[in-house]
Amino acid sequence: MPKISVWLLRLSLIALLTGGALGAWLLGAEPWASAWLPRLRAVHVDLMLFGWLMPFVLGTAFWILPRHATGEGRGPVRLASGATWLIGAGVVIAPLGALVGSGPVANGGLACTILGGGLFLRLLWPRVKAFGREG
Amino acid sequence: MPVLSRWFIKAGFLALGTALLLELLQLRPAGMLTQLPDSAVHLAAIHLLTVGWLLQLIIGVAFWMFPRHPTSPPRGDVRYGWWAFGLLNTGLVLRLLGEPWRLGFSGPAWPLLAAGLLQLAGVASALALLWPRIRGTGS
Repeated sequence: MPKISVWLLRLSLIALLTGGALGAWLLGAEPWASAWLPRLRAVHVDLMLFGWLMPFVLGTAFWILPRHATGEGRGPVRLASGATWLIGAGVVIAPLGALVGSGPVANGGLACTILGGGLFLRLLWPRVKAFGREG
Repeated sequence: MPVLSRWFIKAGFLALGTALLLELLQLRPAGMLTQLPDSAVHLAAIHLLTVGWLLQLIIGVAFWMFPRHPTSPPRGDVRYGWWAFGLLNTGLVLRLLGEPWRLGFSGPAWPLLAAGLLQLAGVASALALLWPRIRGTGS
């Protein structure tokens, strides 16, 4: 398993545990009426979708999809590293923004996630092919 | 495919089928099952899709396909996996029953609290199983 996949998968499992803990707490605290509830729900949804599910799928795909026959087998490593950093930053910044109720911070985090996810799509698209074939 | 993976994947498909039926239930004619709140049905369907189907499918496939340990047991201590399976599914069923009970019939809050804790413990158990297998091949 390449290092980039290791980092993405570990990040996703941490987000799963954090988002799951928050979800469990929200479920138990249902009768508790507070202005914080919508924010905590937003953090929960953010962590479970963009923190857990997306990095897990991308990390596994980066590891397991057919490799290129020439050049760097899994595509440019520097691009993949940059995309991983962007996703990692988004996973931290977007929930923090939602938690403190700051739209610009939450949107900035979401922008990082979208950009990182987009770069991964660029990397993975050509690798969706029959084994041993280019393009 | 190992037995644990098959159980996780089949339970995932059952959850998917149940979630689709619940989505169908939301299209019921007006006046039918009026005490059953749509919000509870919708929340149950969403969690069946995300936790019941996707999470269980992912755990099952990851347990099967992630790099194996060079030492025995190659896929790690399977007991963590069975605990995860039992805890996750018990928590899901408890939530499935507890949420409509709470929202539609003023039921108690404890089934929801228990459901949350059981699912969290299930996730932790799955992590204990899978985390050591996320590593560079050969390391």
